[in-house]
Amino acid sequence: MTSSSSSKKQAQDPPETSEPTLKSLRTKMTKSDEKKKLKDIEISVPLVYGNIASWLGKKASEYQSHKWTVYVRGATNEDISVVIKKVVFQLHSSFNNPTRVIEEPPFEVSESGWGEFEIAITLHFHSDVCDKPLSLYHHLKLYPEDESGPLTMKKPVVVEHYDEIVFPDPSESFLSRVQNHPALTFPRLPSGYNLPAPMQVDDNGKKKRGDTKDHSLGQWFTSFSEADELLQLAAARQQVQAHIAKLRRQISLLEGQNQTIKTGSDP
Amino acid sequence: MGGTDAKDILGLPKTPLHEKKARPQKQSHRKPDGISREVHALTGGVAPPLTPSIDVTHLKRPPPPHEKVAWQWLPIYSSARKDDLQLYRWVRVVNGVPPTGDYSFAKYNKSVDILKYTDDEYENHLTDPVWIKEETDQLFELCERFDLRFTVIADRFPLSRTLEELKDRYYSVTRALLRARAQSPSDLANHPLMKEPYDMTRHRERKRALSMVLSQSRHQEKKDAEILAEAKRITEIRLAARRAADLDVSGNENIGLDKADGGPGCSVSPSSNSQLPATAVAPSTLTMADYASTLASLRMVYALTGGVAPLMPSIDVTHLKRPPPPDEKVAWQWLPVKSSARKDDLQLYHWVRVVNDVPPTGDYSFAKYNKSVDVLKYTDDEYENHLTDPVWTKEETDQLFELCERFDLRFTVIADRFPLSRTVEELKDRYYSVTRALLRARAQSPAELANHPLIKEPYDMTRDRERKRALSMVLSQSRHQEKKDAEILAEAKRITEMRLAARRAAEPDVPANENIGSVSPSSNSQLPATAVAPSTLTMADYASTLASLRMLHVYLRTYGLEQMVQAASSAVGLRTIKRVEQTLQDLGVNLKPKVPTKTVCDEHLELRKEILTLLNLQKQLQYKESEGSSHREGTYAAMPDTPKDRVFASEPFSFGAERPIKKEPKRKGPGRQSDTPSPAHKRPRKLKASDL
Repeated sequence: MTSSSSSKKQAQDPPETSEPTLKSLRTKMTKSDEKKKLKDIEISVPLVYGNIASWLGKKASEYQSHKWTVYVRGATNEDISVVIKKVVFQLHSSFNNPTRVIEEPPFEVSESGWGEFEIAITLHFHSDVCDKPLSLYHHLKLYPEDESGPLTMKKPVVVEHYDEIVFPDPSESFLSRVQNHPALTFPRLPSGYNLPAPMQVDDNGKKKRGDTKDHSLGQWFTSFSEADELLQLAAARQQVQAHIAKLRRQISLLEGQNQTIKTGSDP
Repeated sequence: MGGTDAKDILGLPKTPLHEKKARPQKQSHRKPDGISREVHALTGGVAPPLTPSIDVTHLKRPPPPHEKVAWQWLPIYSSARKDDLQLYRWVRVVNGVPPTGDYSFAKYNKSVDILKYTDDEYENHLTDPVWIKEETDQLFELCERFDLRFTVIADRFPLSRTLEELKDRYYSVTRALLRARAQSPSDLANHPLMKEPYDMTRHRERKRALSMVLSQSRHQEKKDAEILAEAKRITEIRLAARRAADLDVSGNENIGLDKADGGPGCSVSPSSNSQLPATAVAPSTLTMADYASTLASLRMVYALTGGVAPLMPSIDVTHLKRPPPPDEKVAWQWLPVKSSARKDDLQLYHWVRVVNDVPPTGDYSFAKYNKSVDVLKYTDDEYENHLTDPVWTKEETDQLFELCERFDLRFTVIADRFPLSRTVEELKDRYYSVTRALLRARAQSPAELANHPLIKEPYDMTRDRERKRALSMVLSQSRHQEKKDAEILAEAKRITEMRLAARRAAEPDVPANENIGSVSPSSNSQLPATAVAPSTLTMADYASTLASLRMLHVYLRTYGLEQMVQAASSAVGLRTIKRVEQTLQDLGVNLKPKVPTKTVCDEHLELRKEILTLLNLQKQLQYKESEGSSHREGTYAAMPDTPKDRVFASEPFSFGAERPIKKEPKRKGPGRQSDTPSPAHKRPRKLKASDL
């Protein structure tokens, strides 16, 4: 007659954290590890990837109803080619040369077509950054959410996703090369850790600018801000914490009650 | 390169300007012009050629048009030749005019001015005990002829003299001559032969040392390098010590001086200060440096032994070297040996150290090592009663015991001699079980037996077999497998350490966090006790997830977040996960953050963790409530295992204005009290309490 727990293990009771919101498990581990390892720093590159599609209107044919551009760009429109060597877009097999290799910014492919499909975007990094490529997947969107409305040439359909590439243990050469570059978030180095000065790449005149600040489609770019999300999360956490406190109070009350009852009922 | 068509269509430039970054890598593979591919590959394909000393452009330049170049076979006239030998060679003739001037290599025909001495000079200055005049004459002749090429001279010298001897003789003669002929000593002072006279012994030494060095084995080379490094270190230590002593002594000398003088008082004149340190430095630094060098040499010796400290010798060396006391007269005699270990009458002899004509008494010194085992002997009756075995016949057992007796339980020998083929383990097993049975049968009381080693730790054949098999496996591992095993062990160790660290890290955190909501300290002390144990597991999970993420070298933050969320939820039930997600939605938070920056993801994780805590506490609360109510009913409900994730399907609560304490039914089922189980679940303990 004893109740038996149903198959699953005991639930965890994770520790609460009362630190200011910016601290987290990751930093906690990092701080304790910092004494042991010097290199517990990570570099993150904020990206936005997605597509912009516009209807061709009168010129639309059966097989070419939309023209679209799929791209990867820095979230702040900075030049990500400092990290990314090339991007490979794998399009639908019905396209001519479905494997598009883009070796210089802006990393994008513009095409025209009629169908929506999944595009595999593979980011290849420079050799001092990382040998392994990273893959993202994006579903090409041509038609607006609101299916009932008429197609219009004026406003394109824009679908963008924000994500960040994380390099958990960057090499020294990488670190020194990209310090102070606006395209990525450089970590705060532990004190006393000196990086060699970055080599001056003296081809400012020759190379094209790699940032997308003046992109032709720039007006449609979404600007992602973490502020909203953070606010949301902070509010939620506050609520949860308050509730937890309340529950704890109740439990302690009951605890006290049970104790008295128990002592009372002992023979 | 893909996409040329697309580029064409779109009018984008075809040539990528971005290739520059790739180029440095390529350059080593591109072969320079002028040499064939195979040759370039032979150089490894990387090494750039040295800049040629000949200006290539010069060679490749076509001759100026007004020059008419021809090559002719002409005789050469060289000033270097004293004879009249006429030689011919090809000569580059320009416009019919052969080149003028001496043979271009004639300038290399240098010769040495060898001094020639007269017989008088020889008599006066140049006599030598070892060298006679004829020899010296011959030597000088050869020197003249061969321009002081001593290797050739030594070869041609009629008597066998070493090269150094010849040099020595030549140079000393020349020096003596110069001195004799010099008008004034100042002439000589700048002559190279005077400034640096030839020193035969020094050169001999030098050559010997050089040949030694050149013929060293690699091992010796290393040793020498170590010694040199050691010497360098010692000198550095001395320098440092000297510098340190300089600083020290000048500080210390005030005290000393005061004591010594007594008169002038505290202030000491700077001049005496400067003197004393100079003299004081030397001895103090020497002692320090000596100390340091002794250490260093000890270290060297230590290193020579391979870095392992020598064991203390068990023989006291001083004892051996002690000369025998003078009153003892020691002789060695060939005497017969009587050993108690021998049962037969074989008479053996050996050398015996006889002191003062008294041979040593006592047994043969090695006889004490002749131990034997007491092998039990059983009677036939005993065999019938206790020792029968399906596998072993009596004859076999008898033979086994005989062999055991004879060979003192050396089972490897016994196994070899045993007439039937039995494994060592089988023989051992049989022997020990028989002996055990005999002991048990013969024992007067069980207490006697309890301490017998055979009874306390009985021989277990299967275990022994397993042990031997495992040992042979380990010993026969290939190096590859050894490495793998070591890696696995290290990995396991790391994981346990990580868990330990996580546990330790978690513990100081938990008490600090209890300030939320001003909860009373008594309840604080209880809850953390329960909370710590599961929380450490979570920390370890996070740590291992982080580690696996690091292994990837690059990952997307959304992926990383997913992994962490999974790690957190791996230990909880599916229903709990759903509840967490439901709660998130109720709170208005995206299940997957739209802008996953680092802070956002960390916050998200923390929120999830807190929700888990919340849900847990809810369950605890219910448990306590049910406990309380069961107590109120007068029974002491036995505490079953708390199924933490099994709940009475308590609904998620709304985070609106209302914060209900008792759970309001929201989604699942009709309204009910918190302590009534929903029929879908198994009977919880609540029923039991109320049943009773």
